[in-house]
Amino acid sequence: MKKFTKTLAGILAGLTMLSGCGTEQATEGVETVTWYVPMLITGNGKQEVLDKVNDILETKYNLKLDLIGIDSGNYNNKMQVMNAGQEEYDLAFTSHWKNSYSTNVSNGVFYELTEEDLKKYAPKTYESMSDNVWKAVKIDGKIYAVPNWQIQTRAACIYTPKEFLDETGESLENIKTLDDITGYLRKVQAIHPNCNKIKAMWTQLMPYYNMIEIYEEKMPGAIVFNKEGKPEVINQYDTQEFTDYIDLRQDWVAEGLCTDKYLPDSNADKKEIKEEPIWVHVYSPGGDAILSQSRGYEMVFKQFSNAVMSSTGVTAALTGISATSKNPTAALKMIEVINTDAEVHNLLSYGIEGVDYVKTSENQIERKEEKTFRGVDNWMMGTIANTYLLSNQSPTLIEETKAFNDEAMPSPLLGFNANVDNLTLEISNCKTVINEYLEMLDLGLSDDAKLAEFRAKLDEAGVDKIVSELQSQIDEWYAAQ
Amino acid sequence: MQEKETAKAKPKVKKRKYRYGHWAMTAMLSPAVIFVFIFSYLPMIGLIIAFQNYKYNLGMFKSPFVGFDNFKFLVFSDTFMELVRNTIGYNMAFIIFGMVAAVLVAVMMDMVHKKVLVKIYQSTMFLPFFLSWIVVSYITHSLFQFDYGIINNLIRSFGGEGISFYSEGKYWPLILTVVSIWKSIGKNSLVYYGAILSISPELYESASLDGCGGFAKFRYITLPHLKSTMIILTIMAIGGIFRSDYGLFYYLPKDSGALLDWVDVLDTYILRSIRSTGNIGVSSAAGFLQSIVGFVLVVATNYVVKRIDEDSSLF
Amino acid sequence: MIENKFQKILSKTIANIILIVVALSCLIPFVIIISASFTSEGEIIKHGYGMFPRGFTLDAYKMVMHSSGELLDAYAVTIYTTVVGSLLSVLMTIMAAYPLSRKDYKWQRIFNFYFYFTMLFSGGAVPSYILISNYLNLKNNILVLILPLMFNVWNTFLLRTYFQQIPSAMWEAAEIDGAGQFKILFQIIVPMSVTGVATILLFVMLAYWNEWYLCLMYMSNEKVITLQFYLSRVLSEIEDTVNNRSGTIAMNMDVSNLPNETARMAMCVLAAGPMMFVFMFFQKYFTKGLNVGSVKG
Repeated sequence: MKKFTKTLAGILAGLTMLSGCGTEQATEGVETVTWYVPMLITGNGKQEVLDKVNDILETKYNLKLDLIGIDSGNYNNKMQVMNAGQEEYDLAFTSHWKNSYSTNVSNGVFYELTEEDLKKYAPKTYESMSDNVWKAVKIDGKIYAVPNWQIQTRAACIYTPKEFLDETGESLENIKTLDDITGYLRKVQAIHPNCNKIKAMWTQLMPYYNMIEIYEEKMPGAIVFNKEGKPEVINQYDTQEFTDYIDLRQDWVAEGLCTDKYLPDSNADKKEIKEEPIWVHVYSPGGDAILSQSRGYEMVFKQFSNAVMSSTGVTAALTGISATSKNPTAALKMIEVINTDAEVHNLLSYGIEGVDYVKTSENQIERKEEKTFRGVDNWMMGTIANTYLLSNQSPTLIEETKAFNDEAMPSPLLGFNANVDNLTLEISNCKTVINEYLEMLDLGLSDDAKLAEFRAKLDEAGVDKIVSELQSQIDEWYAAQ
Repeated sequence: MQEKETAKAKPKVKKRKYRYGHWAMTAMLSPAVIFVFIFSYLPMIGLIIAFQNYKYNLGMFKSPFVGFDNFKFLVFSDTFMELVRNTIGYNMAFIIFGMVAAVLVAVMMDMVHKKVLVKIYQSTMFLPFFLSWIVVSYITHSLFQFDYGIINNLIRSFGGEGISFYSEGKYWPLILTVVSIWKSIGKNSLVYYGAILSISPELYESASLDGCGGFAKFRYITLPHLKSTMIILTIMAIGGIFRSDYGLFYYLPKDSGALLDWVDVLDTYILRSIRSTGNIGVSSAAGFLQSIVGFVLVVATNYVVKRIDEDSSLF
Repeated sequence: MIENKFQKILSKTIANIILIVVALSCLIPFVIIISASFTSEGEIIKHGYGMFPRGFTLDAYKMVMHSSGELLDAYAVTIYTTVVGSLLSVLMTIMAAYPLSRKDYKWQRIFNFYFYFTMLFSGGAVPSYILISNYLNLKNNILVLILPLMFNVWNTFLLRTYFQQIPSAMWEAAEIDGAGQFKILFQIIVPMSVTGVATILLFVMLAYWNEWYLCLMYMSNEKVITLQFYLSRVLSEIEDTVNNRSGTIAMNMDVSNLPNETARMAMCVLAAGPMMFVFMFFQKYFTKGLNVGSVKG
């Protein structure tokens, strides 16, 4: 019995000791800002990098950053429960595709940012982005998040290994439509008959079909402009374009241009067998260089649709201040720091010079093979404009991006954000249906019967109500402009 | 006799001790009572969320009440009947087939007699019980993966066409049932094996003398002995008929949209609706419904069992 | 008589064969995982998974070990929570099961129901989260990986059944001798129910070892993560990257460096292995079967 008590006492002592580890002491006057991002920050050098960041933040700005990376797959789950549980934190990554901006705003998750606040605490950030950008994040005329400046327009784009072009003698200049892509795939097929050649997704092709999604990725309700230039809401899944696209995908499968089997996580060594080497995705200046680096072989790309600046382009990467934040001004200041202090942002994105990367020119770097820090992608926190470029990226990438953003046609509906509060049942029903069917259709693995079934189920789920409600909201908004 | 003696020697001791015993036992129980109160009963206050239009910024105590709207939303949504069908269907399969498998394995273990062999069987069958669902999902992945999964390799080696398991829902009821039984067979058969061991060997001997064959012995001796264990386990399982093991239904099918029709159950629905729509009210309503249905079913089943056989009832 | 004997042997053989098949079905997946973890990636792609490793390589293990100090951290945390948590938990379960097993205990029925009720009703994910993070302030505290799992009603009822099988004369005699209830419990009842205690100890250890949800929800300190959470995170990261649900091209994600098939299998072995080892020590307690009882006690 005595022995037992002793052991127990020992355990309890150990417990209290360990539980003390969790809390850290804050220095006087320094304001700590907690920031959640959907990316694991790992590596043995992590602590050193974060310490360095905090040294700078403390001495220069009297701030301290508590950066928390959640793996992308669990991020939604964790943020939703945290938000629902009114957890106290300051900043979080939000967007239309992860940690949904519109849902969060309608649930009151984010702190409203007034223009005065922005001008006062984050003046440079505020000025660095055009009125259109700010318009795009407004919901009911109010701003709830700061955009991370990056490519903010959407255009369809094809990424392909350069090797394939050389082998087939094809030139990217000739690729202007999806049919051209089919032709190219056939040529590749002649040389590489046994690989799953292409990955493409319907949502990424919306600009190609001149459709603009309204409130959330994949959800029914898209805008097209009719002959008089008036916006019309349609169910994008019930269009000739969608039928054509699905037919095309099925043809690709039938011809063996891409696999006829669903591989939910086939993770075979990408370097060797080049699983899905060709990719139809959104255009992003410098994207070829990033892909080349992460895949280990050279990639080239070409945009093949108009570029449209719509709300979804801007809301692809935002930073929101939590309504539970004890200190929203400090949080806003922190955003300003990331957007203006290149040293801090570079540390967080790439780690320490000499350890994790080497400079190859004034603003370009090469990441080391044996790097000890895997940081946050530069577009996940703040602007990409002040971070280094990769050595294989164009040195004028930022200017190119800027020009691309400026030249893109702004969607006439910029600033319109749908209020979907009355549509929750329909949206949730449609979500289930889309979850169930879209992926297989999108892979060309379903037949026409499935497509009909998909459409019928969407009808049942109330897609018409969504379309007509959105149409009336847009008409109202349009008339008011 | 003894009682009388002690009572004589110290008249009030017995009574005081009796009371002391109660307090001591209550004291022993108290940590558990407190823990359960904190970690199980306190969160039940949160069941009110099921009746609210839960707003994150207002929280549990300030969000507006909306009556049964969340329940209506849930019940009238397209998927509800499918969810109920899947949840109950899978649970029934797990309960029935799981029990049959466990009883059969236990009976056969008893037939084997050789202790060394029984030990080996038991230990190997216990192995899957130790795996987390995540690890199990890796195993099923290696079995059912299209390109190099074992099952497809086998099919191809016999000249067949590979099956794309992760896009064909119809295989999953079988897969999930087998995996669920597979994972718990070691533990469940042990429960019945214990009960069989407690049957007096004399009963079997006298039955043999009466000329009973193996099956008759099983039918008239073994089964009746296992009855109460079977009933208790079944009642307990029925209480959970609206619930399911999240890990099994989430990790194994890999949340693949094409399989949802076949594998979506209430628990995966609840977590998905928290994750993607942020609709906490509805997910709470679903949870509440699970509890209520379980509670009613347990009480009802118990009542029926009690009417038939008092001893076998749960409470 | 001869026929009878023949029948007996036949049925015995059939039983053996069936049991061997079942046992093999439980064993083979382990063999596959272990052999895959020692196989080279190329072989798997070429020939698929198999029972025996084609060639032998430690590459997968090297990769898993090399890529992360995190794995070691996860081991440390998991071992700590498993050891501390299960000891405390077993202690608490013993102390709860004993009064519940005593029919003469005044509130036995009430408390039995008090516990049973929680098996049916639960508050749900969000209220639990609010309680633990906002009121108990257990976020980022290692205790959060221990406390919520510490008391398990099912285990308590299981142990209670073992206690009930002890003849009442045992504790009656001790009570008359003036022994306190704690003394009776720890000196008489527990030593007589070693099997039961060992059983729940194993179950509790397993629960702690396989825990990942609490870690996901309440820990944001990456030094303090559990093994299974580490596994699930790797898995979810792979799925998310490969399926590329994101709208933007991830820069810091090296697709080519994600653990591949064999590395995942190696992680499985590393995550599940230690529990298998522990089980060997407990094995002897299980030959007599498990006992379950009813709520009424």
